[in-house]
Amino acid sequence: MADLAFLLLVFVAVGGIFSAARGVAVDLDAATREADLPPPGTPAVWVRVRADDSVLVDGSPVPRALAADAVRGRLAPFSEAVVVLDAEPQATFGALALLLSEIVSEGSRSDGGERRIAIPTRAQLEAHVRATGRDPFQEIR
Amino acid sequence: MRLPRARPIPVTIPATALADLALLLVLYFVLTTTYDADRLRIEIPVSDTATAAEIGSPCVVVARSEERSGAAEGLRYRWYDGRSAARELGGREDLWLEVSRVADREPEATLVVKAEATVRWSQVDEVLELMREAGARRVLLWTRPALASGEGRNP
Repeated sequence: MADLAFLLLVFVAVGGIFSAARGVAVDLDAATREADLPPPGTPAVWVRVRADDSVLVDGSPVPRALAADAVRGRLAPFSEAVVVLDAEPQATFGALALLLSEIVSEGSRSDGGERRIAIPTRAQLEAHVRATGRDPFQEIR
Repeated sequence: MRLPRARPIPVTIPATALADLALLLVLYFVLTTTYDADRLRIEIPVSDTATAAEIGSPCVVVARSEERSGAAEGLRYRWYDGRSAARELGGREDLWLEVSRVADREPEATLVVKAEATVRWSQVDEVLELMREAGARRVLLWTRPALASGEGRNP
């Protein structure tokens, strides 16, 4: 019994130590294709983390604490809407990752499926703006 | 009166105690050793997203450096190719070279980016763009799960 418990302890300890890296997957291949970002007129929610930690949701400023709820509210009518997440250059990587985590947990689809979330690179965004003639992250005043 | 002749005590090493001690030492080392792609201790972002990379995937560590390059914040890069020990890179040119080697060898490999949470997004974005230009297709931004106490949550 003690031997078995000891082996289990070692197994669990070693299994925990050699766990794989987990995190946010980014498809860089998509960054070469501007068309992977939703074109104007298709259901999408554009979310940008600002340097002061506030958030723009479809161009409207939203307090950071309410950002995930605001995204969920905008996603509710559309089961296939894409969330496009970006951050201002001076925003921290940590702020973007945390907001992404909240959107993933809050923004589940009504049918239980996974919501598509795109994190474009700067080059991909610039290509999108050139192609469509508008910046979807621009603040609405 | 005949007393029994004293028999010599055989010289042996008490293996039972040795085995116990060895097991305790093994247990101690197992519990105190951590396997990581890099020994540099940095604070990575908190996120509950759970996409996993394969164990031993190539990994680039992006950490803040004390040195500054002009007005820009200085960064240091370390590289772990999944085979040998992690090592410091001289700069972005070295990173491009290492990523292109992996992309050439395994085009579908997932590369892990372990970036410090306080690094500016623009700098992480530049690293992603560099990796894309070097031929990388799949990248995983390494995060750690929030603790049960609600660490990282908004108030």
